[in-house]
Amino acid sequence: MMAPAAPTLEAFSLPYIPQKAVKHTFKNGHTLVFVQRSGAVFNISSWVKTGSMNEDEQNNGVSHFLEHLMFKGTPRFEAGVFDKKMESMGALINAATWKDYTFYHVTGPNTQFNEFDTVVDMHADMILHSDLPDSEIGEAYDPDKGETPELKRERGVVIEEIGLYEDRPWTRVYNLVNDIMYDESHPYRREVIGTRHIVGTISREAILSYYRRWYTPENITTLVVGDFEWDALKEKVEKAFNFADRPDAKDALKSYKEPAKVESFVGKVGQGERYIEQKSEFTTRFVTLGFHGPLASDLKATLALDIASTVLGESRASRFNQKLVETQTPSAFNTISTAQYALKLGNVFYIMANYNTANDEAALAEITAILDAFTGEEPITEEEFARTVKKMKVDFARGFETCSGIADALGDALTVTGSVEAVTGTLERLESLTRQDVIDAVNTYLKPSLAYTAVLVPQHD
Amino acid sequence: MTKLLNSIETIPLLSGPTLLFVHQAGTPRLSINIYTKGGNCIDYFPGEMDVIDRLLLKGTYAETSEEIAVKLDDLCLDLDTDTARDYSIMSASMQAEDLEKNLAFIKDLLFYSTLEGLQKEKEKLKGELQMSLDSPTAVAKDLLSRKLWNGLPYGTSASTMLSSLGKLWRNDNVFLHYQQAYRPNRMVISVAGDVDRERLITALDAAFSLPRAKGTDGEMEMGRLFKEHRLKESRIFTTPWEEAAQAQILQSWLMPPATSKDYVPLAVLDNILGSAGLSSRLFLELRDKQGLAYSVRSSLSLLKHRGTFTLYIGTEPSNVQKCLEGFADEVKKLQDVLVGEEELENAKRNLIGKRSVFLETVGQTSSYVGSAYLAGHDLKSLASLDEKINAVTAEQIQKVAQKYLSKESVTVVVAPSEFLPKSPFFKHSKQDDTTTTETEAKAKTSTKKDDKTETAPVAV
Repeated sequence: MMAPAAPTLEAFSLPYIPQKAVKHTFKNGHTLVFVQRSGAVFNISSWVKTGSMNEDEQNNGVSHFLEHLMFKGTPRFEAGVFDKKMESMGALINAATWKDYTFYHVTGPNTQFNEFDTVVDMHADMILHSDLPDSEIGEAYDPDKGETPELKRERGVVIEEIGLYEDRPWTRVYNLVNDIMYDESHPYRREVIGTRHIVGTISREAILSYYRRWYTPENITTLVVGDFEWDALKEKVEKAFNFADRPDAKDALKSYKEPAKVESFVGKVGQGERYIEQKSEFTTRFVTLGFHGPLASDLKATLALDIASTVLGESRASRFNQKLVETQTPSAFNTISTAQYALKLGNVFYIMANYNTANDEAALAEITAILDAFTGEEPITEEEFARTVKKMKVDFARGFETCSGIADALGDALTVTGSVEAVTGTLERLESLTRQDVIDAVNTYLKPSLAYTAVLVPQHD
Repeated sequence: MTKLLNSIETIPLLSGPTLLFVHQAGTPRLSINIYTKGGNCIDYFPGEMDVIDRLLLKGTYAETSEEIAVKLDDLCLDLDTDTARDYSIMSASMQAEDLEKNLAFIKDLLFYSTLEGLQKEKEKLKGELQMSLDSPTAVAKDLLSRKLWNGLPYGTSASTMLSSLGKLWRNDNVFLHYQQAYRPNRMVISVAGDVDRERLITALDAAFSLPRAKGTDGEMEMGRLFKEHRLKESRIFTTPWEEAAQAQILQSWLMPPATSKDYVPLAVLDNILGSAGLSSRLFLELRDKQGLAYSVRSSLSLLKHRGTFTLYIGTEPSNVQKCLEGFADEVKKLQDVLVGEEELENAKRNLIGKRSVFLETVGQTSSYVGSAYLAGHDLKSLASLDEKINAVTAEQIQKVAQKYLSKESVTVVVAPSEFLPKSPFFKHSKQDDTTTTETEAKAKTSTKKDDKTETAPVAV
């Protein structure tokens, strides 16, 4: 059994926030981050270091299914009580599951009803003591075999969500490219939402086992942003997140292990096909090009690629937009943009375009030509670099306008990179980064030959 | 929040526009929304104002489209344009210190656009509209909008715009319309942020003083058309989408304008039925209990001339009938049974509390204030809205449910052909014989319309 660690307290500065923020790790390993912010709104969120990266072929989708089931009651509060109580305060409640994490959040009015104690208590109770009743999960059925129970309960809800995403062209083309970007053993290859078969048939025991294994104190960071007093808040959170009350907390601590080791997956990228095409009922064509990037913890390279993304495809003045959409007449392209997703086991850089021409080869050649120039003879200019750095500073500041913006940035940084530095040091890194750093990152990660490409084409071509 | 909303000032500027100002101390950014009255209601062809608002960023006598794009980045000025039912909007977010510099640039964009890129912009818009219709949900919303408004400008949709883009071929006509619409006296400017009041007024007057005559917007005529608009019968319209994993179902009723005395009871009803979030009736019954959907909700949209109340669900195609019955059951419950005390209280608290959360940024505040003013709300009443919400009774909710949700509705279903309702009229299996007979009788009188299945607008 792991020996309890000594509690730690770390104060750190955040831009645009007058008071220092606090990161405190309790004896049991649970971490609390607090950002003092005056205003009418608060946010509390708990980030769990698990997502589809910790799944396998037997339980793919369990992280997300569990996220749904966490709202289905505890021994103290039956299903629906948490939702009703939070929403009766005007609070917004939700949760999300990603490859690297799962998080639960409540954003509410600070001053309206003075019920923050209740919020902390019920939020913690949900994270620690969800009992995942069979009656809420629903009876097992296999949609792939055409089985349909009378009442589908939460299995049905998640299977409906799978259908929702299947009808979205951008999600479909993203999943296609994701599928060829990783080899079969890579945890990022599986879709976060899972499959109909697994969601329909996975047992309560399997879900419960996953819950107990990963929802341990060391794996959870709770963030509070709002107008509160630190000492009282710490006491409140420590009392509410009392993992010792959990029936099998000791076993959970024993079975605790780090989520997938980063090093073991570096380089395990897709080695097979680099192009995939699928017919669809859509009438226009959707393409996504994916590139493997640096580890999210490589903050310098990640920021350099963020700058490259802005120059290439994130504003009206971006190269792709100007050259393929704005100035070309007639243009086959309806839209084209870029984005980088920061991920624990390696970032991914995407170019996403929609076009009308049936000549996919020509459309892809146009995209490649611009990228080729960007990684060769026409690298980022001094003017583009200066303009983008300035713009990114403003964009970064905008993230601090809301409590949830602050909490999400810190929660993501802590869970994916293991440190708040990804947030606290952004402005300094923007100051110290050079144009050459961007050129180096672009040449390392964005050469056209490194692209994986997926295209959705109309079936009636 | 009440204090914030109490501080809204309505200031007629000497240059013509009406300024709505909310001073929010300690906010680093300034949000300025510039509304030009009219929106789709003054389109000569559906989508004309949409094309014009896009062209505002595509070249002036002083700067080319590319220069404008680069300048926006250089100035760190977030600027967007859009056209809604009742207005076109240019929304800007900036550092307060850059106010004068940015307003000079905005003046150039708003009043001195050349609109020279009309053909190119039409092509771009056409492509974007086609892409937007590559979604069963978008196709369902598009169909609903057209059927609900039956030619009135609130029914402007991606497909009506696609059909009319070809008619926008004369630069001079569009330019004339632009000059008539974009006049300072037809504008409302909503500002929220930490800026000195006098400095703001001086800067805005400098930017909006133009040697351009006043314009009118034909609001009287439009108001009459909307007021007289009725749905003749409740109908189901369908569009096949063979590959769809989910059926998209929308049911909508016409509502009164935003200034109606029923506005607040309707907002509480909407909250209870389907907009509160995870605890609304539709969510609890159709999602939590029956597992029929991931997305299910209601939405109330009250605009200047009229409004809509809409139910939405995305579900596995074989569930279409079950969901339509679910909608009908929940509506009937609201009409037949008084809402309980606890549920009513929770809904009120949800509405009141959510307003704080949704007014956290200056952008949210200026949008809220601007759109409320344009919809005809008395701004003073925004601060006292909490009191009005608290005063709503269960009897009032039942009354508005009976008054508005008993009238004709439009239902649309987008799904694979085999799952589309065969009759254009909804048959509720649990309804009594009298109602069923009446529905069937209507069906008999409209036999020709039985197979009136819409062709997917994506094919236009």
